[in-house]
Amino acid sequence: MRLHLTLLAVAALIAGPAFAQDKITFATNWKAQAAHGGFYQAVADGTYKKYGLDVTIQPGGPQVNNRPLLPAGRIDFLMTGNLLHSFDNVKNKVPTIVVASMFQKDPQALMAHPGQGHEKFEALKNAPLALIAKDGQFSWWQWLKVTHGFKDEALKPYNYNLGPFLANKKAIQQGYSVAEPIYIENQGKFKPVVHLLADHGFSTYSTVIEARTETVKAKPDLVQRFVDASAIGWVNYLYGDRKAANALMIKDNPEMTEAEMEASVALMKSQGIVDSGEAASRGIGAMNAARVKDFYDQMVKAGLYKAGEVDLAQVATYQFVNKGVGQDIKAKLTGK
Amino acid sequence: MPTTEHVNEPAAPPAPTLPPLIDLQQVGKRFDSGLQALQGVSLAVRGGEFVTLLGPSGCGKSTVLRLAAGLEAPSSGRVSAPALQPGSRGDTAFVFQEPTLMPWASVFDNVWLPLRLQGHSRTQAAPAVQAVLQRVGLADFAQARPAQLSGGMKMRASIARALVTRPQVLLMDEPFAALDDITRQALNADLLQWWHAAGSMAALFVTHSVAEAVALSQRVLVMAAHPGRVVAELAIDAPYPRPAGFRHSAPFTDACRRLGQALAEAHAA
Amino acid sequence: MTGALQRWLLPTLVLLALIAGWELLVRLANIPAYTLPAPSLIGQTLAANFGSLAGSWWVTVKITAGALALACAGGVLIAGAFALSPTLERALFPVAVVLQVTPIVAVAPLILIYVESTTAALLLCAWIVAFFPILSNTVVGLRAADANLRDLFRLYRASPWQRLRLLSLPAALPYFVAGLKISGGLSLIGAVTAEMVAGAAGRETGLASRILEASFRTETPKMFAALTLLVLTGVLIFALFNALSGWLLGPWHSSESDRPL
Repeated sequence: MRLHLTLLAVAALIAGPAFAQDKITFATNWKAQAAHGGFYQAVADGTYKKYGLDVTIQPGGPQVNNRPLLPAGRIDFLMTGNLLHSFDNVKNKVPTIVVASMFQKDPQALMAHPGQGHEKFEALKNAPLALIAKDGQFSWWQWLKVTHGFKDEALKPYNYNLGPFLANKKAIQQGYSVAEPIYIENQGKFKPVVHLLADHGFSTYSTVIEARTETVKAKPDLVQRFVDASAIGWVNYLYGDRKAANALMIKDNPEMTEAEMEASVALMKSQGIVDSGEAASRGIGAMNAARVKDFYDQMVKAGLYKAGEVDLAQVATYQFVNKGVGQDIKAKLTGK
Repeated sequence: MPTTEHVNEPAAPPAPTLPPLIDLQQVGKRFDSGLQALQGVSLAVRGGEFVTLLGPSGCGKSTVLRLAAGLEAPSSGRVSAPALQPGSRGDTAFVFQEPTLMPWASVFDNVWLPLRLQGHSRTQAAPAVQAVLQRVGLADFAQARPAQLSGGMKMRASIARALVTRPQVLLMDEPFAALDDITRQALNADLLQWWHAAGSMAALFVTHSVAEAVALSQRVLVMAAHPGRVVAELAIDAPYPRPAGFRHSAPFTDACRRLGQALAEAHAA
Repeated sequence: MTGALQRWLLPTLVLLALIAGWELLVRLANIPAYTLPAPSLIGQTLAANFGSLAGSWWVTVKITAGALALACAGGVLIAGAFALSPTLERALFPVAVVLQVTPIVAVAPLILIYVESTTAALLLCAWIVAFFPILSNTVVGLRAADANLRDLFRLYRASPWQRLRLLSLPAALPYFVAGLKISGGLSLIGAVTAEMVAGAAGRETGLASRILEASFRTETPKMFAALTLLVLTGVLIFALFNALSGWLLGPWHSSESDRPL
């Protein structure tokens, strides 16, 4: 009897991991950067593997649009930058749903040259030149126009080239508060003025994980594992040894440097992008329905949607988060 | 007592009444490719004369025409012709082997072209254009486009254009070669009429058809190739207008035979 | 059945059959609207958004027409200069070729950086795409006048201006028109490509921006509606220049004759 059990145990040990590895493709919305750090960390330090997931990260980029791949079934999870994409999906009956939000604050920001009177957010709308990329032009720029009086006359397409902004002192441009300012400082040799949209009412969740509704229904355990492992990945990235994760990101994006990523992590921490508010107590990835509704109402006021046009119950599900996953690891790493 | 030496000479040309309009003296023409198109060619055409250059392809007969038109310059020798005079305009006309009509313009506009280039407006030129169209039998086709005309009609239009400026010199480079025999003979007869009606116009005609040469001309110059040169000359002693049945008459057949011989000898040389 | 009716009937029937097939496919296979919308849905969306889409359509048409007009002017003028000066042609023709082969997709963002006005940048991009066929065809055309006709003009002592006006230009017309037919479509493509890659300012957005916007907001039926307008515009341009060619060349040029090849 004992021999049987031992043999079974050994067999389970050997065969165990082999059975449990689910192949997963996770697409991001940009080239690899520190703002994706937690996911790369979970790959690099084996967290995904420990949770039975064989994850391939598929980066986005300037001309790459990964979003249609999710409903088409070509990827399993998708990272998007704000809830507007999710609202649009539900409005157009695309069967996807948000399962977690890695960032508590959207790092979307507007940057300006110092000493041009753009230190106050209210002054930005009078800038003669606003460099906004297409993604922003069709989403939060509309909100800026209605809520904060920005004008289309100033808008010029931003093609992810810092040149026009650096050349024109009166110009403002978009960027991630934890990324572009670092590049601007490196190339333009000055510290830009940074205005976080989240500080002025753009209260969306950011870097959310989306999944197909059928995945959530049919394989909730898979979704839970991915969410949990990702949250733990973020804890380890922010507070632990992230060298391997950084190396992995440089492999995916050779133009990135270690210094830029470290500077970005520092900003993420100081600005409370990832681990603030709810996440501090309920774990990274935390979401609540009230905040989603509040953001939606604001967007309705801004004219992006009509009241009741989007069924908020289909926008996000909260069954996978708010469980304090990763808090113990964080306590160990930070000594708190 | 009148001398009779000239009367029975079979090859005597008509007594010269006007100075030569076209005069080539020992003309040579060598093209850049090295081809010696003409060598030592001398010929003269007077006002009122109809002269034909007869020879095989490559004997330089077209080159002679182009020299007389001022479109080429001789490599050696002298060419004098109205076209080479400074200030000459419209005194020399050229009829090409193709009708060379502007396909985008009406028959009227095509015939108007030489007068237009001289500065005459459409209304100013209209009488002359209409008259010449009438003369060649195209009065009803003034507004037609060349594409709507038959080969023979296009050639009539081309000749009309040539005649509209009342030129002193008419140069014709195998104009009827592309037409069928029936149309060709009809146009031969018409051409003689038009030339004769023009008074003292000098006509220099190029062909490789012996029959055509005899039917049209007073003098036929036989040319040979390599290098291009004049090897024989025959006078056609027949009146204008040509009598009915001329093409079947003994003098016609005889002249054709002699020209044929001259051509054969030239080829053998 | 009259000839004209016959000519139009067959293509129209084929088109209707294709659209019907598309509608059936979507319905039977239950393809979701965000992947492939049915023609009926596209039609509804087009009708519902006609006002705003029509405005964008007009912007795109203006850029296309402007670029085409400039391509004509530029192409003809440069071709004329080349015809007058072979040295100039030898010197500059390679430049024209380089402009032709450089992918506009790569160049458009750069142009947008260097050129202040977005409209000027878009016109420039569309012009680069459209002018070469007109240039190259007109250059050939200006040399195409029959050699004997040229001799004739020399014989009658035509001035260079007379030769240009009465001989070279009419002779070049069929070639120019052939180039125009090509450039008509290209200027639309250029305008759309430039706007797609470089984007447009919020105020004057053409159909390309609307397609992008719909794409970003996952409004696939609207994408197709805007695309339909673009396709119709292209077809219209083609038909227009075909008619123009028929009118200009019909009476005399063999390219417009009805005779079978």
